Amino acid sequence: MPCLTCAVASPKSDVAGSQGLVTRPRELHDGRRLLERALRCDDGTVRSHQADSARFFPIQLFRTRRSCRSITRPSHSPSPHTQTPELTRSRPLSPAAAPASPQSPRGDRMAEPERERAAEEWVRRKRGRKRQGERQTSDPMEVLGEDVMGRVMEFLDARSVARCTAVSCAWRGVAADNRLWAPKSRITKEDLCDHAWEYRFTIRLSSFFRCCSFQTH
Amino acid sequence: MASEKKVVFLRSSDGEAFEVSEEVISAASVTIKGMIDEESPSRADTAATTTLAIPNVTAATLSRVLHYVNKHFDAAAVVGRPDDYIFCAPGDEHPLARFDDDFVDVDNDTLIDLVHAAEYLHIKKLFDLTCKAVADKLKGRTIDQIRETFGIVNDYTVEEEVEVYRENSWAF
Repeated sequence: MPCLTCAVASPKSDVAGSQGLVTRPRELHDGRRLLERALRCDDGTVRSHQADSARFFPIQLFRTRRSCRSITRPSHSPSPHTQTPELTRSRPLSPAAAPASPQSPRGDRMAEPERERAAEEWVRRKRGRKRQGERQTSDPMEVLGEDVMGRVMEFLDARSVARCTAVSCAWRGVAADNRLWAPKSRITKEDLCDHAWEYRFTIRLSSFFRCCSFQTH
Repeated sequence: MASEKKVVFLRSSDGEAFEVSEEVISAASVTIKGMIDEESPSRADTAATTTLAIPNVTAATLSRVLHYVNKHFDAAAVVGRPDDYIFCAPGDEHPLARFDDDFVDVDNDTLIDLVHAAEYLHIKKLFDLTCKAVADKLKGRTIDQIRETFGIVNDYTVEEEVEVYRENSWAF
């Protein structure tokens, strides 16, 4: 559990951290470091902790979420360095920057309707309702609905489904569904043995027999 | 008269009409078969062709779907061909496997539109094919890659995320 100051400051560093552009400074609390180690990705960057500040400052959270989205959306462009103007705002975490209040620089410039929208979005998210009409996210869970995604995950192997649980809350709801993990629909070790057996005897041998019959005729 | 095939027109959401053989499309799509059956008593045996509105499928998607349907369900083309992949000899692949692979080799939005259309039109083979294609996009990816591919926002709190990681730690 990180301390309050870290949690406040974390979104800023995470916007940059998730892009892998900013290296993390050393002076971190022990608990924070442990947590980071737990969340470290394969490529050495740190997973976003943005959601952590939700409990303290929901509005703050959404400002960072929006800036996250505006960074990640044009990620098809060849180099992430083209977006540096956006990234300069996200300073690396330092003790001096830690006590950032929700009304820190950008907060004052935030227009009233924008703030309302952020609040509205927060409420909506809190209820777990889908954002409808705006097709800017192509999250298949929102676009396709849970039934279809359940069907999609039936085509996945167990490891991939387990990974899907960590993508987001909605994904977890589908990927951790018991119906999906029932022994019938998920391939277990026993099933694999059976399939190997079946494959060898029905498919391989049938072609073998066919060859034999061709030779005898 | 017998030589003439019955034809229906499908009108996409943006108003473009596509011509397709009634026999083929009703073999493929449960939804359209239902529409045609509803329609048939009213038109009796007049020569007028039916136009069916498909309100939530765009022209681009509908043309793709019809391309697929014509390949897979046209009786003249399908006849004498084993329909199930597993019955093929191991050496030679199903003649339409290549077509299917190319068909779903599209970007995410197009693919998701196709899943939608297949779901709405009840084309089971196409639905399975497209779902499998989506699954292939998820398979073997890391979580960050999945999020990036589909632009998903991570909405876990830290505790939840650690918890999720812990309980499925074998998969990461």
